[in-house]
Amino acid sequence: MHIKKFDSNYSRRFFMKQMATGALATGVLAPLWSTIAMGRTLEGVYPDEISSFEGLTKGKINNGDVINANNVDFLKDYMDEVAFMQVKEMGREIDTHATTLDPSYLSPPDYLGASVKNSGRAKFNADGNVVTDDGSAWIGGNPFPDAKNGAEAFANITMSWGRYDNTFYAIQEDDLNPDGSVAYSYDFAWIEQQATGRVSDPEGVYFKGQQDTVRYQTAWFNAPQDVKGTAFLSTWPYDQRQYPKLEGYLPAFKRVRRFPTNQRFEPLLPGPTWYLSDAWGAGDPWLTWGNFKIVHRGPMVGPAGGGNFNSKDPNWKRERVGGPQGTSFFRSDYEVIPDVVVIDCEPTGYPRAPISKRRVYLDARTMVAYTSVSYDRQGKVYKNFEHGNGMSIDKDGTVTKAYRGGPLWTWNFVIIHDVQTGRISLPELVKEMAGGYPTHYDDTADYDRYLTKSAIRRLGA
Amino acid sequence: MKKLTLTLAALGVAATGGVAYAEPSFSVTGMIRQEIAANTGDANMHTSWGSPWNGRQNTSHIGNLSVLGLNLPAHQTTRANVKAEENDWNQFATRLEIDVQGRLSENVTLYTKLRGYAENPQDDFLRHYDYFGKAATANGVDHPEAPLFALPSRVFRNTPLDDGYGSALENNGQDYMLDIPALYLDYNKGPLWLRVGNQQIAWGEALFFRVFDVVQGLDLRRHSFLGVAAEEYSDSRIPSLAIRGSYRFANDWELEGYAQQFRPTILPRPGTPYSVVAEAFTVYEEPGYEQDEDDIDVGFRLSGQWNDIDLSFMAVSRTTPDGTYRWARNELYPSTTDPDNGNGNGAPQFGRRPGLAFAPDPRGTASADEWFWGASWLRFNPVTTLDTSVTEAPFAVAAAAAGAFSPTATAAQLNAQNPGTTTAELLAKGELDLFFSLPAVGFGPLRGYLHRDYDEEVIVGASAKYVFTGAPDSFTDQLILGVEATFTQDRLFTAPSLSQTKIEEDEFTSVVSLEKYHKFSAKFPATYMVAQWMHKSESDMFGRHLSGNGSPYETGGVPTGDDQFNAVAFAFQQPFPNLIWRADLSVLYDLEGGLLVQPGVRWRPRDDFQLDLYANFLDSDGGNDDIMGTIETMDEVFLRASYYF
Repeated sequence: MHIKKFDSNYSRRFFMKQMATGALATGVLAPLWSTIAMGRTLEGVYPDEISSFEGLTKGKINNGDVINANNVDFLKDYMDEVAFMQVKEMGREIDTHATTLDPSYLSPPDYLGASVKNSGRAKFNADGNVVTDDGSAWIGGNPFPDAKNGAEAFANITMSWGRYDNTFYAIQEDDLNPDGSVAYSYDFAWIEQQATGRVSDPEGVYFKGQQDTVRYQTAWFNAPQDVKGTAFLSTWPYDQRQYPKLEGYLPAFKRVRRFPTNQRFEPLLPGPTWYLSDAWGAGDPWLTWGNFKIVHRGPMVGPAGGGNFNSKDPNWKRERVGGPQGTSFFRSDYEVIPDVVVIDCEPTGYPRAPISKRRVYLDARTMVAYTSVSYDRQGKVYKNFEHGNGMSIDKDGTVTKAYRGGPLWTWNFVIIHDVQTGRISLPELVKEMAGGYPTHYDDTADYDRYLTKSAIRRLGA
Repeated sequence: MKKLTLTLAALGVAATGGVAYAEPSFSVTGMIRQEIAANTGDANMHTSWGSPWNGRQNTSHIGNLSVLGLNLPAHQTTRANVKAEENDWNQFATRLEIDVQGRLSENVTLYTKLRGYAENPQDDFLRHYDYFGKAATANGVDHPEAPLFALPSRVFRNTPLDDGYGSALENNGQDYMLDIPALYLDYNKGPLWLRVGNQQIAWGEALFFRVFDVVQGLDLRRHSFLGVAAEEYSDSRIPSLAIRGSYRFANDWELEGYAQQFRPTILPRPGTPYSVVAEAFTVYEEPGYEQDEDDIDVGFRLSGQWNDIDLSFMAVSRTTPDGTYRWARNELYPSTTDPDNGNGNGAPQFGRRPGLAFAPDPRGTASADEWFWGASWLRFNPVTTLDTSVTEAPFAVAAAAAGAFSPTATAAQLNAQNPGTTTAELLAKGELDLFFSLPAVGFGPLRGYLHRDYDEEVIVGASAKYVFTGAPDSFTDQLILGVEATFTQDRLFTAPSLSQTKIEEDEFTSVVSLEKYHKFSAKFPATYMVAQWMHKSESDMFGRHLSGNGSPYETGGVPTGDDQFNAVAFAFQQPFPNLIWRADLSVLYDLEGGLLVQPGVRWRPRDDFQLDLYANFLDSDGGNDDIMGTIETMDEVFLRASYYF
């Protein structure tokens, strides 16, 4: 039941006031974070006008309707400009569902628990890095669940990407030509391990007791033939002013080589329109970026909760829609996200980056980015990076119990649309990649399997 | 889908706390590629058809022997009537590769690669050459010398090692090879990794230069070492049956080791466009290989990080894959006609001379001038090669019976009696032209015979890599400095005299590299640049001892030698947006004046198709002292069109 006692402009005035005062307090009717910390749903936190499509569009679009070219104008102010253009001009259709009110459907359980448990213990040290109140490396969960400014919000999305200690994402990606045809298809794994801030590891919050590393991450390509075995291992120093160490195995070399890592705005292989820098809306050490500025607060529509999973396909492949051949976008499922923090930031540590700024959209309920838009050096829209976060729940409500006997919180897909060239990349999380490697979580053995120099040498064909 | 995935298992469920690697799973991918190289240089001078001495007349130096009291009239020597040819295509081949990858259990995976390669010579005269080796012993094509002695034709050709097979899992014919360069099982559990089977092992990170990359030899039959430089011999390293493994310690230092069956480097086959052994020589590869084929190479490498520096230390005990060369007896009829083996029938087989390092061959070397030029061009000493071929133990008896003598010793003797009487060079030329005289006096054109040996050595080395972290966009921003250095004690080298006694010296080898990605434009991906300097103390990049360097290119002569080998390499790669196009340039420069320039472009419009267009420009400034001098005619433009499935 939604609270009706406030008029329809209450939340708009609330957010405008916050923007004007520079304060960032989440929750409109009640404090968001204390509500979550008490284990309650979000039912009393946001008014109806920003908790449903009906409220947001004054009944023009209802929860369960399809967003298409005919009605998307009603949502123009609540979508990033690339997604809006895709619907308005390219035939993209987006399903909708009711706003998720259960915080456990917006984040992995242990991460949520750590955010609650460690709430209030994070601060920035003199270098600008996140530390605990005793100066140690961060101990897990969102450091700033009730973020007060752009820097705190950005630290949240950078210090942990996938919000699990270990993730092995089996991915299939199609890279499309402007005419919608598939130019490249890749099978690869994106493997992450938190080195600090571990939330599920009985051996502690620091991997091997070390506090000097924030994460290990490998991108390992397994198909097609010529890239099979290609792997890039990034080791992220805890100090976010430093670049990750990048080592790569290329089949052409047959050996592991050290690579410079400041060039984070390059595709790893021919075809993809995404860069390492794009990952999770925060692909670089966050102190190599700067000028974080909150430019908008308020409700938006975007992927969250259920509806972006597809257990009907044996490999979880998702339906596609729109574009010249009707297959340019995943058929995603949006909800009204009552409170979105939109942050502009600039790649200050990358003088020749092809982008001048990135606009990142954070779901304030859980401080996770769900989309970002990059702008070229002339300030024109360059590309988006929309990741379909949510639960392993189909559009029809079918639950896939993929994590601890229940549904899984994960990213589901990413749509990266280079609007200047018309090329689109569509990586999606699948059940299993070529070679028989399934998506899985929380397996600490993955460090030895995939996240060391000898591992990528072994994985190389 | 552009791949074939055979998943035997029902797809597992995403798991937590352990992976559902319950059932074996296999995937199959492949590639078919056309590889063609258009010859833009000259004919390969190592071949009979490309020799600059074809049909060439020379006035003999037989008059030089007058100081010995031999007053023989000067005559004209004429090189054999091999038709001079120049091929249009260096390579016209089709390659098929099929990879099978299998995950057998949580800890065990399988990988195998099947490689087929068929050469289809476009020039008719090349069609009767054996490109891959086995045909030289099994299906040898007729050779003009065969009728001379009513012998099977193959005896004059190279006797390839291991019956002509390049690696353990290979079959081949005259114009095709089929092998399994990878067939191994991986076992991984925690910090332990083991790989067992036929495999490649690549160490080091240098471009062109193989400093740490000492584990395996190269198979140069397909495209010599002239393939895409940036691919760093990945198609050439000879796979071998091996056990390889590593263990990573708690501090992330890693100890890696291997034990592998010895496999030698395979040179391009004689007479083919990339061959580098003069066709007028027969190299006995098998006897040496037979002695060492059961050798097991072992090596260790310890790698880790100290402060911000990546460090590696290595030690390898190996049988050298490249091998060394020395004169060999021709062994044509050793059991019946060799005058010094005690089994002869008493009637010298004049003209065959078993026991010599030579045998008559109409396509053989035909004049002292050619001998001097050819020996010098290949970094041998034209005088001492003659000395050793007639005085060292394997040949002394037969040589003496043939009236041969050491020009160096004889000149010394004459000059001791009457200073300034002659020189070793003059006597050598005179003696050689005596040999090359028509059979009534000498033997006519001669073929030389060589043994290839595989010596044992221990290499130790260290490498370091440091990444500078300068200000963004500055020169030192992510500049990578790398150093690799190795030391080999008592390394054996081919003596420029081709003596039975090899040169034995300690060798120091190093490479210093600077690598950088630099973004010149926001619109273009970063440019990759690498600059390297290689130094060797005793031999050149191909392992030839430097004492064979330095002699007049046009005439040949006694080499003056070099003290050290230094070369620099520079390469850049410029990808274009979306990496669909990439421009490459690789340059290798021997500071003595040899140059290889390899520009190229790569086009990757789809994931199942790629086109590579490259060129090799080679140049030498002469002087027989740089690495390009013996291959400088191999300029070419090559194209690879690949389809992946």
